[in-house]
Amino acid sequence: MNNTYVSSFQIDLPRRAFIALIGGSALLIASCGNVRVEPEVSAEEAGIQAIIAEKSKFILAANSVAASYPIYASPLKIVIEHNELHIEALTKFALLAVPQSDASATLEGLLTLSRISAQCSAFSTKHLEFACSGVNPELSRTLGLIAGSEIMHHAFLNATAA
Amino acid sequence: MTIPPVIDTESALQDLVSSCHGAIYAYGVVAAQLTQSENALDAIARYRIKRDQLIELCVKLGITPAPARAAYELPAPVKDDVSAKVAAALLEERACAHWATALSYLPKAASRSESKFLQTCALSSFKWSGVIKAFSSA
Repeated sequence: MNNTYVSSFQIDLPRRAFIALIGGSALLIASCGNVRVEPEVSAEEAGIQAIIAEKSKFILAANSVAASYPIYASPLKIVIEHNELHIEALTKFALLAVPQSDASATLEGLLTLSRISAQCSAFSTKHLEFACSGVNPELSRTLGLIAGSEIMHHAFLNATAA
Repeated sequence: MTIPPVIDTESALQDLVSSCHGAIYAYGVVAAQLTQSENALDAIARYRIKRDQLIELCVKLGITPAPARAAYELPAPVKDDVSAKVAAALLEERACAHWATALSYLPKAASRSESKFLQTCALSSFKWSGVIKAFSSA
C-alpha cells in the first residue's frame, strides 16, 4: 500500500499543533457538558452568611427559653429584637441570598439562660475577630458595633439571672 | 472643631488618642458630680493607660499624636449624680463607636487589645446606665 498521503499529512500538521488541537477539542467538549458552575463565595461573604445563620439559630433558642421560662421572656425579647436588627444590618453586606432560619435546627446546649448569655459573649469575641480580619471598613465597623451590643447582652442576661 | 474622617491607620490612631483625651476630661467632670466617684476615677485610669499605649504605638509607627486640648464637649450636661451617670454611659457608648470605626485600620498586632477595649467600653456603658443597645452611636 502506498503511504504517500500519510507522510505528507505528517509534514503539514506538526506534532505540537496536533496535540494542541486535540487538547483544545477535549476542553471544548468538557465545557459543553452538564457542568454546574458554583459562584465563588468570598471569605467575607461566607463569614457574613455564617454569622446570620448562627444568629438565626440563636433567636430560635432564645425564643424557646423565653417560652419555657416566662420570667425571662421580657429581657430575652429585647435581646432577640437586637439580634434581628443585627441580622438586618449584616444582610445589607451580603451579596448572596441569606438563608431563612431553620426551625428544625438543633438547639441542644443553648436552652438555658446562662447558655444563651455565654453565647452572647462568644459571639462578641468571634465577631470582633472577624471585624479585624481585613473585611471592608464599613462591615468591620458594623461588626464592632454588633460585638459591643453582644457583650452588653451577656452582662444584661447575667444580671437578669442573678 | 471638625474631626477628620477615619480613612487609614494614622487617622484611626489619632481619633482613638483624641477619644481618650476627651474621655479623661469628661470623666473628671463626671467624677466631681458623682456621690461615689470610684468608678469614674477607675475609668480615668483605664483611659490614661489606653492613651499611653496608643501614643506608644503612634510613635512606633512614626505618627505624631495630637496633644490634648484644654477642654472637650461633654456628651450630655453634667450637673448632678444622675446626669453624671448618663454622661458617663454616653461617653462609653461613643468610645465604643470610635473603636468600632478604627478596628479595620489598626495594625494586626493591636487589633486584639483594641477589641478587648471596645468590649470594656460597651460593658462600662451598660454598667452606668443599665441600658443595652443594638448599636452604639458616636
